[in-house]
Amino acid sequence: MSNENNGLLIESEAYISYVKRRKKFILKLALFHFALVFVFDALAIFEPTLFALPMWPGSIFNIGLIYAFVIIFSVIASTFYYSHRINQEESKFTESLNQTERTSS
Amino acid sequence: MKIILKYFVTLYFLFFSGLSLAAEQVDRPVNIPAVITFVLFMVLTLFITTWAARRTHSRKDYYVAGGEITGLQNGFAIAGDTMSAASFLGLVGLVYIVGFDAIYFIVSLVVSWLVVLILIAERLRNLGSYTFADAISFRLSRKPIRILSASCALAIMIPYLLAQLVAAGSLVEGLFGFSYTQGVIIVGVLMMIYVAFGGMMATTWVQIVKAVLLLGGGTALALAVLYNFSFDAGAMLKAAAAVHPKGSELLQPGGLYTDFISALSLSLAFIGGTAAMPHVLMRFFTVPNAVQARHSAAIAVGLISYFQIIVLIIGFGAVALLINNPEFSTGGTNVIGGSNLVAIHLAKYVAGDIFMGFISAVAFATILAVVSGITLSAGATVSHDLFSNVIRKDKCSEAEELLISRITVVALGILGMYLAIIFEGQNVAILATLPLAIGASTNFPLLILSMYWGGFTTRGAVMGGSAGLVLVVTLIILGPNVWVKVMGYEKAIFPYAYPTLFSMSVCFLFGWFFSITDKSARAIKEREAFPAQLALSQLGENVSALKN
Repeated sequence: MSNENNGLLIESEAYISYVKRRKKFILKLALFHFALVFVFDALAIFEPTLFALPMWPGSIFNIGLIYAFVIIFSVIASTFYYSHRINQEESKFTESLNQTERTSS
Repeated sequence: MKIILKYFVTLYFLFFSGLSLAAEQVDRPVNIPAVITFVLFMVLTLFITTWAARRTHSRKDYYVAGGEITGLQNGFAIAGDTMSAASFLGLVGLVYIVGFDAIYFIVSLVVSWLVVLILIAERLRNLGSYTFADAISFRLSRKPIRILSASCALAIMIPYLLAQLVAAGSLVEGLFGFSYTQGVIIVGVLMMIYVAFGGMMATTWVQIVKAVLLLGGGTALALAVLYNFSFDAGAMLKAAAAVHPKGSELLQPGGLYTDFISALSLSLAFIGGTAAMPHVLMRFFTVPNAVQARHSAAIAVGLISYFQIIVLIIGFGAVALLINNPEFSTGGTNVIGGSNLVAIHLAKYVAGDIFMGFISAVAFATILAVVSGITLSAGATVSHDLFSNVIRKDKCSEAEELLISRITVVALGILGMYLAIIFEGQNVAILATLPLAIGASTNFPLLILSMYWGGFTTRGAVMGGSAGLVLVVTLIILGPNVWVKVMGYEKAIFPYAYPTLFSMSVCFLFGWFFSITDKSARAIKEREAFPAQLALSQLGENVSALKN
């Protein structure tokens, strides 16, 4: 792709919307996990008794332990989702680029 | 090839003269299975190094394995870098002593890898070539940024290397029957051989072999632990709470931190620090493109998350099985040989001496693989960022740059071994604290601001990075780890062990403030260059012409 085409690419509507969508998505994902950790820290310090509550009567698994596992599994699930979503976004963008090139030629 | 031969002869003499110098009489029993497993690992990795040395000709081969590593291989290597001795032996020991509060470390470590995946991996790969400073200085002024990045990188890597070498010496002393000094020399010399001869290709494959061994060994250990409780995790936790001095509080928060600032600072240090380790970031340049970088980060997230679950099982299993066992414990949570040996003792309890020997050798191999990565990255920082870009202003030949890198590796290896021998028996906890806190307070904010904010300028980067670096080092010295534990004062001037909440905020704040107030012509040009950088960082090869 030439420099001239790069300039056109940056100004194209497809590129601008691709960048916006992607930025919004990764910021949401990052903030969600920062919030999960922040809440974990806050509850562990300010509400340790809540974290110590058993998940069901007589259970050794308490809310704190389960919350920690929720974070770990959320990270794993988000990894899969992120990879899937970005692949989709990329192919959508490449498709729209190809379409633009086809139209202009 | 002649250079390699010269290095080999030098290292050969250094290795054996060092060992004979250190050959003091040691009366400890030799763990034969551990020695056999480690010797096998050593033979295999030296074979890999010879193979890699034959394929290492250019600067790109040496620094980033020619960009030929696949996403899957790189994922294992990255996971191997993260699964260091600290995050295996250290975290298992921490779960054993404090219980629930070790989860702060585990959760933050796992989240940090998601941050690397979604915020850093692809953009870094598309913007840089060999070191993370390439990405930060992409549109900013090269000289000041590279000097700053190199200073931060070396401030992270030298204490980290030292902490690993001291840990290696202690581990060898307790397990293999060698002396501390011999242990340090074995690790130091092998590390120099791997890196100086085989470069990134050898370092990556050593890390992959180690990661597979550690994941396999950890899984076997966790399964053997669960077998003792008929694969009922609840029964294991109940048994742990029944024998631990903390009782049911073992599974509740409050053992380690009781204030929010400490807990949050620790989480930020782990999230930002792990995402800013120069030797880990360098791995994203070893894959052919950004898609493979994303792929490798995703694999690393999976492996690291899995390993952290294993660590929790091993830690709580050790509490249930080892406490009150006089063969391993001297009462309460006191473990023979220290809490870092909990996983090793547990291996002996569940499967006898041979399995213990295997886990010991894997732990030692873990340290060896991690120090190799750190040394390679430090060599690249000095030769590529400082020598080639700053001192010689991009005018040195590839051969010259590679020679400087190899000399740095050998010099750093010798310095590391010398310091580790001096530090024998010293409290090195501070050395493990520093790298994460410095990374989170300097490299991490600089990377994020330079890749995501168009208003970021050289002045903002220099002021933010310098302020973060000075503040984090000052606060750590004034904090409990140095002021009380090392200097012996009664009370710390700064009350928190991790100052990341403050130092990271200052780096971001200074970076922002000194950028928005920068009205220079250079700043205007730097802002104007952001859209092109953004396009390249997101689309990579599609806009590769922009790089020129």
